[in-house]
Amino acid sequence: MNMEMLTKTSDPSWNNDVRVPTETGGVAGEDAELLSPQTNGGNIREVNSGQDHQRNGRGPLSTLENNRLYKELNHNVFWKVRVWMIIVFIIVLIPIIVVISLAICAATYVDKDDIYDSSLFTVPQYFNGSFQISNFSFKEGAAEDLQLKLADLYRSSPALGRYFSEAKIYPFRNVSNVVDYQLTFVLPEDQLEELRNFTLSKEMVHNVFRQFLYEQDQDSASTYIIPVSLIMSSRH
Amino acid sequence: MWQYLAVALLISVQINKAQTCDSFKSLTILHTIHGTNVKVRLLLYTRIDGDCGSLLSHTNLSAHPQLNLSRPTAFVIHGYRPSGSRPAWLNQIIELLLARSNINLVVVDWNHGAGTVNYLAAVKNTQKVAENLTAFINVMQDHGANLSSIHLIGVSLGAHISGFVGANFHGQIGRITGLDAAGPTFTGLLPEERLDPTDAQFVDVLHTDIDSLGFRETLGHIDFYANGGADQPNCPKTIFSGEYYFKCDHQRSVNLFMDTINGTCSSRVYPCLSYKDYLDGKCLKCDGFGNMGCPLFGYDSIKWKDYLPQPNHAKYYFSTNGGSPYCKTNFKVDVIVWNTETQMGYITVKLYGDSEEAVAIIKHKTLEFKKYKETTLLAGFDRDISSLKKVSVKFHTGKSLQPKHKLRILRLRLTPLDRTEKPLCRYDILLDEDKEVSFMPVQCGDATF
Repeated sequence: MNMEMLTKTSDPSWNNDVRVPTETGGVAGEDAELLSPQTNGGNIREVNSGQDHQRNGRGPLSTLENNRLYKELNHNVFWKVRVWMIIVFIIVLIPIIVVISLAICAATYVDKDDIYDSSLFTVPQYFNGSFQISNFSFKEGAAEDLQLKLADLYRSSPALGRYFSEAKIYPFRNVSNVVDYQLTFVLPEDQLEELRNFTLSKEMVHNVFRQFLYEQDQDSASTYIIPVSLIMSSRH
Repeated sequence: MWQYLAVALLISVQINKAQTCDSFKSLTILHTIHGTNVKVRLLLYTRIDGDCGSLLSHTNLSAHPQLNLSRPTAFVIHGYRPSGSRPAWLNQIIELLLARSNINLVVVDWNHGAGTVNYLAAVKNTQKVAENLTAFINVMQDHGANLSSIHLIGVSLGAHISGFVGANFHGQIGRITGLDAAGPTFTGLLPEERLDPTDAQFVDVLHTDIDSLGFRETLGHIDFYANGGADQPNCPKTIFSGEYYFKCDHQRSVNLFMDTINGTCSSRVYPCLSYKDYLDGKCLKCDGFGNMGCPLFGYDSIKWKDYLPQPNHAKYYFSTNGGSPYCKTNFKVDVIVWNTETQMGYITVKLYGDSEEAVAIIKHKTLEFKKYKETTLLAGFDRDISSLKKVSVKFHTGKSLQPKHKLRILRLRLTPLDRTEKPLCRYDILLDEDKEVSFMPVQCGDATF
């Protein structure tokens, strides 16, 4: 409404009043443009009363700015898409992009320790030893069963699995429940010493076996290895 | 006529009987606002009369046949009582001390003197109470009591009163136990103006509120700092909890001590430079105490009397639960990993028994797990598990928006600190973040790394 009134003004005093802030307010160019078509008769007496001078100077202008903002926001960029829609879209888009990029990061994250090239594992390391089994019988295939059991154990080990090559059970000694075995691991050339001292130390290979033995089901019909009988030594 | 007289006689006997049972006198809020003059009432409790106290004469001990001076005597001395109320813990400590040993237990009721809203007035009164007690102990000595068999248990201001009494006897008194000795107005004073190690043959002090009502520095031959000495678990963190906010940490000292009297539980304490170092497991060596190992906190700490390095500059740390039984079951946990990338996070360990479960969450700081470097942690479990069946471990990073990491453990070793049992180990564990992995530990093999 005020906008209408303002554009229709022709009163010179009103004109002056408005110019005061324009000279100091820094929006002179715009004001001049807006105020220029002041040709028609004055129906704005009430706005122009003396006590409102100051307010008149700002009030209509700020509404004017609001209006301009409103117009600009409603400006059609293309088709029916207006400026405000684009702004809202951008505001919504930023967190979405953040979340998506985080999700992509998480999904594509590769744990360095999950990747290895087994063709680089060339240096063999052997662990020999023996253990005793209870309810021992010279059943056909008993040695293969044990061999499989050992291979499964080490192949499924998170730390040792990748280096494991094979488990071998030596032919059973006669009239004895002692079983001899050999475990073969292959190690990469780099970090060889570190691996030998930690991951593939006798302590690790031995105890992975040992803790497995304590978890055996003692009542099951399958061959039971006596945990304390486990002996191991390493050789490279 | 005679019948009536007999009835009247019986009634008067009953009344007399009832009157001989004395107890701690509470004051009203009006008394405390007005202020009170020192009046020391000594209430004797023995196994003979159990929960019925008798008011002791300060001079005529022969009036109290139940006071047997060939037995040890313990004094319980309370602290500042701004509300003038009876200490909430009084009955329990009487019961526990008498159940523990056949002693003369004297409750020093100086509520007239401590019951005032003006703390400084109560502080001033401590000297007068100490003089009064000194005179009484002199009388006890005259009747054959041995200073070595006297144990003063002082709470807050009571701890300093014990110190003054001890100083009057040139440190010949057997033991002073200070329970969160008062800090305000005593901090920075000379040793003779507060509790100090020269006040008795053995001075043990517990600190539970060093940042407010307690005393920060060491005061005795051994100084215990429960949970670092400042904030106690389960105590209110904000003022919205009312008066409890002010006194909870301070009063916890009495509760912790009471737990050790009947052996409900006993916590081993470790000399250390700071509580942080203690929590980091840097102070778990106990070689300095011979076969005794690190001292036990509380009533039995006197057994370490001859093993403590003196002069004492060490602070002895331990951590507790938020309620009774307060003691934790501690394990040293050593973890060695083979991750190429260093992992940061914290760990939750659970112990499972037949039908019980104990939890320790180690998250006082972010732990660092570096390839082939052993990380040592202190795990305080909220309860003891008598027969350990299973252990579970969980790794957290606390960062929900990051990819899930894995902790690749070569060896996890659990060493019980409170028992002499052998350490338990588990080898080769893959811990996916936030996933609990449980296993049965085995006795550790020979360690080569």
